[in-house]
Amino acid sequence: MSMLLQTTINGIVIGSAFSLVALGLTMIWGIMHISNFAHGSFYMIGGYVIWTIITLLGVDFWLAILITAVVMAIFGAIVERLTFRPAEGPFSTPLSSLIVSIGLIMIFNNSVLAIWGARPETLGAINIQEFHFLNVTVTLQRVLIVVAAVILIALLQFFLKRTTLGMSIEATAQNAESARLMGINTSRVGSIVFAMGVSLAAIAAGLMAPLTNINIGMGDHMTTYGFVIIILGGMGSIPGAIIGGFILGLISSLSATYLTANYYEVIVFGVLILILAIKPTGLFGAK
Amino acid sequence: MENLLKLYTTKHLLFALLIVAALVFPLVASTYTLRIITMCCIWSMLAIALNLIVGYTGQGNLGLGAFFGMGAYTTGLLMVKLGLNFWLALIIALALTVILAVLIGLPTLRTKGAYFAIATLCFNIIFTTVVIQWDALTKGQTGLMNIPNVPAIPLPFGGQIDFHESLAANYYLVLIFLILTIVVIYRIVNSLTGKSFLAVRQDEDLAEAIGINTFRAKLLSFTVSAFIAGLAGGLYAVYLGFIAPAITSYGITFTAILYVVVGGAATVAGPIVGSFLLTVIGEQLTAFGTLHLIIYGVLVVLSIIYLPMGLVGAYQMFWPQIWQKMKRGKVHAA
Amino acid sequence: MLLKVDNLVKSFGGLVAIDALDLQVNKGEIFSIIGPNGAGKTTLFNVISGKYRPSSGKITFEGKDITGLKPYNIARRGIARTFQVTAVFSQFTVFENIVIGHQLHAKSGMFGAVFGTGQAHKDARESREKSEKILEFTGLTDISDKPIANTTQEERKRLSIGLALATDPKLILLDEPVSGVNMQEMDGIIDLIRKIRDAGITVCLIEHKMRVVMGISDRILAINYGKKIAEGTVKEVSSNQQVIDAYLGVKDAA
Ligand SMILES: Nc1ncnc2c1ncn2[C@@H]1O[C@H](COP(=O)(O)OP(=O)(O)OP(=O)(O)O)[C@@H](O)[C@H]1O
Ligand SMILES: [Mg+2]
Repeated sequence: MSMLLQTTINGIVIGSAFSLVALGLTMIWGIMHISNFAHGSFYMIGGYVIWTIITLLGVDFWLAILITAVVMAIFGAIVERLTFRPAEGPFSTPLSSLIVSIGLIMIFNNSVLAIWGARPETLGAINIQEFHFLNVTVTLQRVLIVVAAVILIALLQFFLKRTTLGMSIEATAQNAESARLMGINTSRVGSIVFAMGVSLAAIAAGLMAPLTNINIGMGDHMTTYGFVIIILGGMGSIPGAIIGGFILGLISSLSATYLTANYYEVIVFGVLILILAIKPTGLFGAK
Repeated sequence: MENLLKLYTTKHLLFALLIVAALVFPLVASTYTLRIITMCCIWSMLAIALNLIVGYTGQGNLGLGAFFGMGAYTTGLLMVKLGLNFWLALIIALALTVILAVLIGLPTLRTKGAYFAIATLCFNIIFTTVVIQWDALTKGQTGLMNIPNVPAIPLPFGGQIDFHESLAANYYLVLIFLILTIVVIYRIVNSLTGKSFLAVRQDEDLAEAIGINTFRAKLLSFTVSAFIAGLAGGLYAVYLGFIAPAITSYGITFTAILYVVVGGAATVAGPIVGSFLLTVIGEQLTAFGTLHLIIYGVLVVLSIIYLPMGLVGAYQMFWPQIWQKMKRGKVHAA
Repeated sequence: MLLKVDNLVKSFGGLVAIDALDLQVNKGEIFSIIGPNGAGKTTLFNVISGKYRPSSGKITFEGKDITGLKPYNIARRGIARTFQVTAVFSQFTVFENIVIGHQLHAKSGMFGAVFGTGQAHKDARESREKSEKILEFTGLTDISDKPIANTTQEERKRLSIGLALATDPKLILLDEPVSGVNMQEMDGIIDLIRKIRDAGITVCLIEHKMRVVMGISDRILAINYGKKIAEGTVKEVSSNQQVIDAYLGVKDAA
């Protein structure tokens, strides 16, 4: 029983990170129709950036998260302007953004290797106070991850529904053509959404950083999990990404504990293929 | 018409010349170069396979690495564990690859676009996970070693082609399969079947409305593509004698996509040009040490920005115009 | 009677686009379907051609039940169609479009092509010859090698009809074949439609322009909100009060 509870809590914690990653991915897809396969690499860079800020500048964890979010947003906007944007054109295909992503993954991963080296880094002890209840142990950081993710998601919702900029993002997602006719600068919206997506991934990496170590491969799974989530939730759907993120967190945590630690990815991805075979546009997708 | 004829014959002449060059190549090349070119031939086959389903049929199959791995691992395992000779192992491996392709194609091809891409990506991850975890069979992360060579082929007038000693023999083996693959693909894409693949890519509703069973066309393309990828995998296993789980991963698919797009999607020559060019460039860049993959990545991004239709695609698009201009120039001069 | 539709219903969620519709198309006639925007005309074509499954009802073609068959099967049975938004294969030339339209008659498949069998060569030759004829018939011979990007709207309209004809249909469903072309081009396409009928192919036509419908049709079906409001000869339908109210009246007012 306590094991089930512990596993569920772990699932929710991982699910928070998944949700943030998937949110960025789904927004980038919904607005720009870009399959950003480099999303996990942005996540990884986020991890290294927060590590650098904390170890080099000795900044407080939450301030470091904030700085990382801003730095990565700017970085994302620049990368988008220099690569994905110019790759759009009359001859571009859905493969174009995949190719840009492959190039970026090579550039990012090997730059990180050149700058930080191959040795994994750790942040050391952050928020390690423990809570005990019903025979389960939860560290403060785990609680804070979930709280931070929920606050961020709420802020994002507020931003999208209540601010002018947010509403122009929503309008562009609904129909880019009519948004343009309404006078919305859709190209600027694209940049902002890309920057936000990258920033969300970096925040997720920063939040998770105290729990794991920081290494070059840490983002690989984030990309595939992210895509699995937004496929399940329906490409471009924001609620789908949030709910899908938590569901996948739970599935992966539960199946890793109860079914098979070695083959749990087989189960996670197998379930997705099965769902798509029955419902080819995802669980929450249109008919 | 005369021009067409000229074009037709120059194309064939060029192909014949290339084959002659490829045949005499081992006489002049160093061992190092020959190794690289043999790998180029294997990657070309994989890229050709990918081009059929992704380029011609428009289905973003991100699971081709699994079929490459399926060909490689089944061939390797049948040879190592059961002691089968290469030819028998390859035939069984290809049969199993085709069966797997149909089993995977049936559910995943019900989806479209990005959904299909992710479904096949998931399949590939599952495949690689199984290869890694099924230690007892595949030797897991350690990889499968000591895969025997292709058995020597006795020659009619005495002597034999020995694949153990001769790198050239292996090169010729791979080359012959590459040429066969090119001929087969050339015939497919120029047939009505190939045109129906292109039709599916352009407009599925319209294709259905003129009597094309689009699901069947996609499954056919998917399976043939998997077959060729499996063949490339089998050759890879027997040529290198060692395989590891990484060669089954979706990273392999991504590499092949790169070759196809840089060379020119939905062209016969594109995947081959892309494979050779990028492999050779990659080798040259190793001189830059740790920087080389960064430079490679920059080149990849630049190529998709400035040559979105690929080298061969750009050539096909612009060459007729240049040709016209040149001809007109001549007329004026005369 | 070539095509018979019985008590056909097609609903999208709550919206009933086709509502208990009956109709019959006779061999060799030009049968027109009229009705205001959103009346369900295109949906009717989509259901007959198998793009949508009907919610209920029965479709019979040449005496055989074809309800719920897949579009490619319907095409192979002899029903061809064009789309309201003109659809042709945009990366093919005009000629290649027609060739692919005839591929459903090929007896050889991929393996025939790979091994270069006699049947494969025969199929390729036949589809080329057939395509030449269709190009001639639709008046596209002169632009046969043009890429689609360089064609006009009228040429694409003709080509989309040619593409449907290339399947060798017994019945052709044309969805607004003269929309978006000028008067002179329109007359050309109307002549083409007559020519199709005279060649023995039954035509089922959706059209808004009354001048066209009244001039060309053997019989007319008028629908509104997915329901039949009149069916009969030009005279019968054009004098029907409900038709005048629902459709012609609206047209006059507009
Ligand atoms: N795929 C669909 N999903 C939901 N509703 C649909 C779909 N296709 C058509 N409809 C609805 O069915 C009704 C009939 O549409 P249809 O396109 O058949 O009209 P139409 O008679 O062809 O009109 P028009 O003259 O404007 O072409 C409309 O209300 C339309 O919105
Ligand atoms: Mg309509």
